[in-house]
Amino acid sequence: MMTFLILATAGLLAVQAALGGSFLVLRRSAMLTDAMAHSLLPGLVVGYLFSGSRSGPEVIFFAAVSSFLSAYLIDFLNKFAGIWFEASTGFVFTSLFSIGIVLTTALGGNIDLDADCILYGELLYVPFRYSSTQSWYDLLPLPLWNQIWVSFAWAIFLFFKWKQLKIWAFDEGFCRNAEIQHHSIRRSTLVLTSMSIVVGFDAFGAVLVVGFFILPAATAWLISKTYKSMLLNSIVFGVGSIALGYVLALAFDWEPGPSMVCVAGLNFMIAALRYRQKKSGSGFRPTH
Amino acid sequence: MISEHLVWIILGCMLAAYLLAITGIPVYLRRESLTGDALSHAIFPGVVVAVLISGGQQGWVTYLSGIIVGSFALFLIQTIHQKTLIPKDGATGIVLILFFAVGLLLMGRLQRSGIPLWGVQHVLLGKAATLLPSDVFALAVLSALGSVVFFLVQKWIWIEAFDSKFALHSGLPKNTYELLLSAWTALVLTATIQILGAVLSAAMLITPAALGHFLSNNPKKLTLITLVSACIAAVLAGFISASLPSMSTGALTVIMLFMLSFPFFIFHPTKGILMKWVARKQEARRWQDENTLKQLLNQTKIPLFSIKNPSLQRLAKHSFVRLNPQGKWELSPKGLEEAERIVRKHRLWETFLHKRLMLPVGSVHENAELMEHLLDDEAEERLALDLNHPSADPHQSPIPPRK
Repeated sequence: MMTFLILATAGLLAVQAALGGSFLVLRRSAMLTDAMAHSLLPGLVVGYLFSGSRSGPEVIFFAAVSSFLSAYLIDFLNKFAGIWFEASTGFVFTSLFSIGIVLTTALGGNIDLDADCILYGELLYVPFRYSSTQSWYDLLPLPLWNQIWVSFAWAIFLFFKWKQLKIWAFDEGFCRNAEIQHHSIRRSTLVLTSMSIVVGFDAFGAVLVVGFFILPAATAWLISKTYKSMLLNSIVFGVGSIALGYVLALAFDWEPGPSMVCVAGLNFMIAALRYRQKKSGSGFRPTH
Repeated sequence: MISEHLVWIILGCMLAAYLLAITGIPVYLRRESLTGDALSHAIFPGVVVAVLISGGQQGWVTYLSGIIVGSFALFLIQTIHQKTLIPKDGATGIVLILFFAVGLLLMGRLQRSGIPLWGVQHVLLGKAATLLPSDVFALAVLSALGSVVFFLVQKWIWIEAFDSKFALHSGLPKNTYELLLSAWTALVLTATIQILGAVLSAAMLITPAALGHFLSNNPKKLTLITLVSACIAAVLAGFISASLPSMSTGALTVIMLFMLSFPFFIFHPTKGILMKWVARKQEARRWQDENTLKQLLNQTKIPLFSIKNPSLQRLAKHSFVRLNPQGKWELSPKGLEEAERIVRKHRLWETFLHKRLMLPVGSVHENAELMEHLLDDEAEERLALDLNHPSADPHQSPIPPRK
């Protein structure tokens, strides 16, 4: 049962990450997920100040806001100050991360933020974290509820904006001509992405979240011929890597999080080697 | 009170900032800023292995394994980017997270087996507070070496950064250059991540160069601004951490860099976001005012102007318009002249489109609505000369003469 709860929570994260990651990788913003995962730190500290715990709803809210703001600021500096996108990314997230570190130390070590906790999260504690409100909400662990809500938000967004998303992911210029609000599509995607990142970070730590946003989507891109199959493939790869990584971690006494990412990475390497041999047999190029 | 220990910390941070900044110039200019971030995470497994071999001493083993793993990571990024359709930033992210996860896996496995790995945790957040004089010495040697090499080969750095094809044709051994640069970057990052942490090293690699490039396109000025801003930030951070001993000096340095550069991004007199915004706003107002003047001139399609119309208020302030005794707005002589000037540009352009570009009469108006705001006086004069000073436009409306 506990294994099932962990895998269900991680699986939902993999599904969201596969969806968000596909758009971001196609839009050449893969490193944005890494940036957003780092810049949730100041929000985490502010949320901690408000709620006094390390994983309340306030913490999740403020962390998501700060993570989204970083993405917004990166776009803003790139667009209006003309700073190269990659430099703007590097500048914004490292600054926010430093502010987070200084805020953490300013609180005098009250906040429990050691390196292990940031990197690994508390994957094995996931089945033991309940809301303790003595209601139906106690049926499932808190991290799983969080994942369910965010997945639900993704589902609604995809259901209503599927066509626009597809066009945006392929051809931003065409969006401009077809009068599709690509700025608001990008912004909504980033809002949902920041929610996924924060909720995933809360349960599993930064490494797993960033890995699952980039690796399955990139793998799926290499072997898919249509956009829909890319999404489906990246979900399959994501969930598959979670399961296989967990089994390997149990078998060889590894850390589960990094082990899942390594499996996903291995998966990508195999796809890349295969791709090189086939050359032009698969994959598609969006217009930029 | 500044203790001897703090002097070492400030000196160490300053040297690290200087070293990263001077390395960051070519990295930034080659548009590989995020590669620096990737590299600082990717050398993590190398550091773990080195610590395992050497037992925690930062020495040549650490540097060597950092160079090997870092160069391999960069090679992998290049290969993935070139051989598959994954864009550069995707490849960077893939290598970053994969190498980092391998490092974590290795570290976790070794720790569970009871093998102590002293100092590996510092790779994430740094440990400037426990800086040893020997670390500072190593940084000083690297800084000196970096400066000498930088100033010897700087001509190639600029040529390669601004036009890599030209550099290739001028005899730069491109592959060797890239290999040396990535090995050197990996070495520098290996030396600094144990002091500053992976993220902060990446920040100090990019931010000073980005500020330098934002403020100047001149290579000499760019270098000067980059190096000076890095050193200033490190020294300021050092003095702040003197009064707040628990603060991480590395994080403070990055915040100082942020506070040095962010105001420039906003308030720079020509490139800053605020100034650009003001300029756009002014331009929009000019268009609005010119349209208002035009509407006042041909009273036919005048909309209901209220007293509080902001455009009219602005025009009244510069006495282009005034209120007549009936309480209605009318053009002053100065406003009349201005309005005729705009109408003249509009109709000249319509004539040009019709006569020279053979556009049908029906489709010239929309374009002229835009061009009337953009033509300057000289272009207007040349246009009139080219069209033999026409007296009427394609719609047979008179073109006001130039005053």
